[in-house]
Amino acid sequence: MSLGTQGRENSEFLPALDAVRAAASVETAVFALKLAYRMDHVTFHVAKNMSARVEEPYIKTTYPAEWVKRYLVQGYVAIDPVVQQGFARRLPFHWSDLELTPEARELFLDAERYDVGTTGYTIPVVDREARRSILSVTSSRPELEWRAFIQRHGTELAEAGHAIHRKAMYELYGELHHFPHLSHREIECLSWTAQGKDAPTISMILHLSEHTVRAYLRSVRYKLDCSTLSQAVAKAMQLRIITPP
Amino acid sequence: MFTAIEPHQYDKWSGILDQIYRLRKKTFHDALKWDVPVDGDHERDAYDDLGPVYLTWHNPEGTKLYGTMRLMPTTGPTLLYDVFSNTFPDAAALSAPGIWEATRTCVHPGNLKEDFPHVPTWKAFGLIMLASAECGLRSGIHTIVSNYEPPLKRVYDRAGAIGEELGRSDGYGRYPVCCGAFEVSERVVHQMREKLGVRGPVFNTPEIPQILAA
Repeated sequence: MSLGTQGRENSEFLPALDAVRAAASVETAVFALKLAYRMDHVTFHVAKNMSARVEEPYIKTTYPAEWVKRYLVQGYVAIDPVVQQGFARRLPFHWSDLELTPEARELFLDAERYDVGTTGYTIPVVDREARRSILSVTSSRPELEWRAFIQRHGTELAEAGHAIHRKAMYELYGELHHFPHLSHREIECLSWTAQGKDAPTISMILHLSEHTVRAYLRSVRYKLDCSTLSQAVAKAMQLRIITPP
Repeated sequence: MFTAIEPHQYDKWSGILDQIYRLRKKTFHDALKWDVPVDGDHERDAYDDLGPVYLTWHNPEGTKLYGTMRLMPTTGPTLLYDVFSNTFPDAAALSAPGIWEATRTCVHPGNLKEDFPHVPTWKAFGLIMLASAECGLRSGIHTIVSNYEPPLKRVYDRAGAIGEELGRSDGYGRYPVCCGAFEVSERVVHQMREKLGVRGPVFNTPEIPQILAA
């Protein structure tokens, strides 16, 4: 098995994660995500108390300008359940599962006229400093098809959300992502990956379950902000975390 | 019913939350002798202030608690990372959007005996684990990292959970404390339902599966 085809996390839609990570800004990242997953729209929103230093709320969206304007003029942010609950919730949620107040129902009806999508899904994001944001994606697909799509790609979308969050923190605070500490096991798994071993082989070498090996590798990929194991290997070598085989 | 109580529902389930902190005090402070912060009858730590998800098993009226588990994403601040980094260096460092941490898992033997006399303690732990796996599966979670006392691992094995111990330490209380990674997948959920004798989903299902009440 070659690098990058190991396991579910590396088999599909990685070009999407790559495009999001390669995007020059959060603004372009939301468009990249929309395009890659053929979403109707994508919105990224940093929790207000986190962006208190800046005057404007930090929102990057692919919504049409007319809808954004209408949303602001109507003061919808105060009644939008996706925003109100999104920052309080921890688990991702489907908009169709929200209990709507009459005002929120009006908002959704109004939104329909601006082609923002008929259904949506929101992923809460949090980092080590407990800074929060939400990533919302919308679609016009039939509800059942959409739910199946989310079921398949929820993990990747969460990863995309966290990758965009890192970009947003950079744009807001100029803070470069500092690579967190990798554990002994994570480095071991990555070293074997660098030597061309796949997860089943590494699990035999290290006497760990395959699932544990994949968990370590996913953790490494997240910490190094990489979309594939090959990229993680290259970055770890650059950073002298592992040595070339 | 098994539900995930999130911050926007804390008010609605305030009675259950109160019972959670009481049960945790009795379990971890009184019985297991862990060094945990106690405030009167409550056990609460800094992570409870960060708005975790409380996976709970309680009656539909929200007046009686059967068991609970605290879930937090490992991309954010976690107890295992902050407190157990030296004890479980490998497990505590795991961090990714699909990896969540479960801590403070416990059951209420008295309430279970009253309402579910046919559900033994091991099964109650298993059902909470199953509910967390079902919840995880629909939320993009593929791994749950958890700390537990050694006897609980046998309980989880018996319930069909698939987990691997990644570290173990003495000196926290009466038992050593272990840390392990549990797989969240379709195959785990199926296997757990089979071992626990549950026919359908337990998480977010208003009706308690018939088998439990039998």
